Amino acid sequence: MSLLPSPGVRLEDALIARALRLAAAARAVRLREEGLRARGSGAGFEFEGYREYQPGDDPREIDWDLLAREPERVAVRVRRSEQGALWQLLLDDSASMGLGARGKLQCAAELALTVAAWGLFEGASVTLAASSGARAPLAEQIGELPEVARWLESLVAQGGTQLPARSPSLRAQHVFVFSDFSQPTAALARLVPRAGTRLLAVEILSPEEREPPEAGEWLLVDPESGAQRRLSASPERAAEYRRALEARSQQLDQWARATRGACVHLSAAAALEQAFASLRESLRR
Amino acid sequence: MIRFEAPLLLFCLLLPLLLLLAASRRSGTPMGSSLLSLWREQPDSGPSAPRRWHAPPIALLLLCGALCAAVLALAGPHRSADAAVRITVLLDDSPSMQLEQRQVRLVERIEEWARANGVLLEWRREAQPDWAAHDSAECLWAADALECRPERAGLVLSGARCVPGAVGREGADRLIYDGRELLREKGAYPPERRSVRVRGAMPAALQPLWAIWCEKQALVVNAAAREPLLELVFPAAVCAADREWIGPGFAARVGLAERPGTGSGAAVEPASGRDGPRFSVERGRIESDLCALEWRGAPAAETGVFFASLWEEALLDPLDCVPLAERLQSGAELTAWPSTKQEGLRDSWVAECVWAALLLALAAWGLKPR
Repeated sequence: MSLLPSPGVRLEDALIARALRLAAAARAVRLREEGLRARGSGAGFEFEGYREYQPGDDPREIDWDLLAREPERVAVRVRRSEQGALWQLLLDDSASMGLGARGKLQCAAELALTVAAWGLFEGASVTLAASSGARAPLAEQIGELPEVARWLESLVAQGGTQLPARSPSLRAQHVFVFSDFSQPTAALARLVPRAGTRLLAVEILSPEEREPPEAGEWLLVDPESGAQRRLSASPERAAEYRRALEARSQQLDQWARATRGACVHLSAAAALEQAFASLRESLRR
Repeated sequence: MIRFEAPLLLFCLLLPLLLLLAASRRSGTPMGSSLLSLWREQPDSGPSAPRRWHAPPIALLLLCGALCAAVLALAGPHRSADAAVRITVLLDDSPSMQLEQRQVRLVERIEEWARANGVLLEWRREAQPDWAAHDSAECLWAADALECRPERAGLVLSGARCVPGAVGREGADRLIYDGRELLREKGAYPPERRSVRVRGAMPAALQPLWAIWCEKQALVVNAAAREPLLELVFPAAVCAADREWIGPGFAARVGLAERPGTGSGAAVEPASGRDGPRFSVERGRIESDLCALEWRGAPAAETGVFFASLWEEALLDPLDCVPLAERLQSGAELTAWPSTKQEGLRDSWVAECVWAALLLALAAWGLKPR
């Protein structure tokens, strides 16, 4: 049995159509919900938060009241309806992402393609980068989605590079990080988003990692470090593992709340529609 | 003894053995995980920890079983050609088999064939064999002449040509068949040598039959005879039961003694109806629990034949009278030895091995760890 049964990415031809259908539906839902909110508040856009002022930002968007209270901080308001926004997608393509029958990287790539389609539908530019350093050309139109898919297919789960290889873009409105967060503390320390940036951590684990074995003799191998651990599986040990996994998930959630972001926990075996729905639900919270 | 077509293939049986050894020694099924730290550290879970023996998974055991069965099937098991085959010889022990030493010569032929073919023989000598009940490939019928033929059993017939000789007696005369007609040898049986004895109370209805039979056999009923050719023993006790007895050709009402016959001979129950009398017949002696007899109507000819045959069966006769029917020509020599190859055995074993391999492999596939 291979430790990395699915290191590569294979995107079916029909996947782009599925991604576009899901993205269009997501945009329609958002518009309907925003329409309802607009009628209630009288505003024409949704205030998302602040981010630090960057040269080139529209001075009209500077929050002068905040500047008066905190002179050392120059922040601009960020709105969801902001056109010309940037969605940044970071994919972990380290070796551990090749685990699982379907492959965590495969799941991440399919989800990333759908999120990219969603961003393009929303009028944002989309940039993709991998933890290995690979970067996709900036996508600004729906028609560029096939190129995004080809770039995703070029990814191979290998090496031990940890997320993020690059810090989130200063201009990014949304940052999506697709990873198994095998070393969450180190990864999260570098993933502190700037003001105005909404970060969504998408944790993808293989079914074996989410539901540990309760019987048998196993040799657990970390594909990145090569570390091994012998395991005589039992229901008690599996229960301990689940408790540790739950604590780890709560740690990720706490970090997400602290950074005004969100975290979603997915199984690599989950269907694309189900995974995308979970992701959108996390963004709405 | 089991032989194999390709015995060298049996070395392949080491393969599943090695597989089991490796499985019981190895550290476990490898599984990749990026969350190694979540598993609680066990004292002996490090990579350098000494390896432990543990039971291999059931799927692996089944797989090894399937491999063994497959190897055996390829090796081609079959019974050795020179292995001893057991054959049951059903030997006719009727009087005609004593003529011309037919039985002796037949036995010699069969034993010679058995030696030549490494066959172990089991003898069954019966005066009136039930041939049809022994019509199997492991049986050999041996007789002088037979009207029926076996479908699966072997058959050896000595042949039965006409053998002139004594066929019976009438009074003191001996009847002799010379191959064409019956001749009478007068005074062949001295009357003083032929005495019979009755002990107990013979039912009155039976006494006329007994007297006629004794006269025909030139027998003298002598209660004081020291060595009678035949002794009939009837109970002296009062009858304890009163029953309907339907025998061959007659019906009678009989009284039975409380205790049945205690002779050592074979028990004969000639009644076809309800519980009739028991006759314990051995050579020279007939013991019965019959203590009363009342014919339902006049005794028919079959009644006489029945009792006469019963008495003749037990009658000690020092003279070699053979019934005429046994002396007449009735068949030629015939030999059809049973097969000693036991063909088909090898194929059935291979097929069973193949089936076992398939079933075990299927079970192993179904139980393999996911």
